[in-house]
Amino acid sequence: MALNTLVVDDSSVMRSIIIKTLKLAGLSLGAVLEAGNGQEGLKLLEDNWVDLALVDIHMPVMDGEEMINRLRQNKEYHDLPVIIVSSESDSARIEMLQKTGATFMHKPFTPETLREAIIEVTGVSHEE
Amino acid sequence: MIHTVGVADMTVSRQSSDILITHALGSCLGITVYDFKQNIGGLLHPMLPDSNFDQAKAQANPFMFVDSGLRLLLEKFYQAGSEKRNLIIRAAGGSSSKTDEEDDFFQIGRRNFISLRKFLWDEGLMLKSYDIGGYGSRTVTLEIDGGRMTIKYNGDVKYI
Amino acid sequence: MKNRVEQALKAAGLKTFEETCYLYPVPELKEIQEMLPLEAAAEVKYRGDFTGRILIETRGGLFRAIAVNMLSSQDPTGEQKIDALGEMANIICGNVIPALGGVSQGYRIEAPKNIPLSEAQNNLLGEPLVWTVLNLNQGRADLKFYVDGYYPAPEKKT
Repeated sequence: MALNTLVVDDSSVMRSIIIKTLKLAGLSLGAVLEAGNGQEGLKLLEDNWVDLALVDIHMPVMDGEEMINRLRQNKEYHDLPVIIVSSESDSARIEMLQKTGATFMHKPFTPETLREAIIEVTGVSHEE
Repeated sequence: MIHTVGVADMTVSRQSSDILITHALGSCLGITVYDFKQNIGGLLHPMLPDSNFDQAKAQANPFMFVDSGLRLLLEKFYQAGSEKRNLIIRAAGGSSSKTDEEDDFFQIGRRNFISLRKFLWDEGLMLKSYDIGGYGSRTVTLEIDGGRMTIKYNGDVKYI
Repeated sequence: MKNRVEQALKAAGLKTFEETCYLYPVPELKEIQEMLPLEAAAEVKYRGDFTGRILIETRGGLFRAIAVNMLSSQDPTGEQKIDALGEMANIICGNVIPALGGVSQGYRIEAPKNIPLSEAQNNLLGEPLVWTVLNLNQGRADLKFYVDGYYPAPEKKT
């Protein structure tokens, strides 16, 4: 199954790193959509189906926390697998976000640790 | 047949009965590449992180450095028809010369591992697994039949 | 607090440079990198129980090297270089904030901002609480962490 993926981060360079890691992780990737903040991310989801979202927290316009909360209230996307990729270090906030069912990946990260998180969340592993 | 890979050296084999081994990995790295489709394996034992620091030495022996050594090792695989997606890359070593890494001024082991990760990122490859750091010496073997990598470290044996 | 922030800033700086752009410390380059001119600077502001900012300055080719290494591209655009430096500031800031303590209301981190060289060169941002210099293999990074209304005590002369 080809995974359609949404990457939401206000840094275009960080989005490139995440997308390259997705490609190197050995998964069968479908469309990869990019958004610079939560609002743009939600807009993309109105017209596109995705199987996985990687979302930053600290972003202008709409942060990742609000985006994820809105996703969870949406009938179509309430159980979308989400990986939060953020430098957020407040354990109470991280715990609250994890309660929404999201997996937390702390920045900085290595491509290998992000790959592990992607495989764990999607249940899809490298075809060896 | 057992092939011993010396310091600043490399060996590639496709003989299923072969085992590649390198000893006394301190701050050096033991980097293995294995093509699981073709059953080809290679082992590199570089000492230093970056060939740009001493290009004369890198010309004389590219296997001394992580970047120039791994470039040549991978070329062997590409020449044999290997595809990147079929390569399993693993590493061990990179120890500190001091029990407390903070006391290790040059941190060559750490630099070697960072240099390896940079090379792989630029090359569009990822590490499958690694056993890096700590204090002490490791011995690494790679079995061509099946590609198992074994690490002996401080009396323990592990497979990665 | 100063000691905690100092340790956290150094640790977060080294880890972020290592894991995000594959750069490592080379303390033996300290003297060579001492007099290098400033290339670029970026800041990230934080708000919470404390407010302040982190400023990151680059010297000796580091500005370009950060984007080159993150993107694996020898030819990053000016915009990408600024974006990459800002992202470094963002990550380091997020990792240092817990050392401030007092997380009763949590912290918000603002989007990174490029700082004009004239502003950074003339030190218009005032005295940081902590200033850490990282001598890296592809240039020098100065990390300056500010806490509003919290000034370091002058050094005692013995």
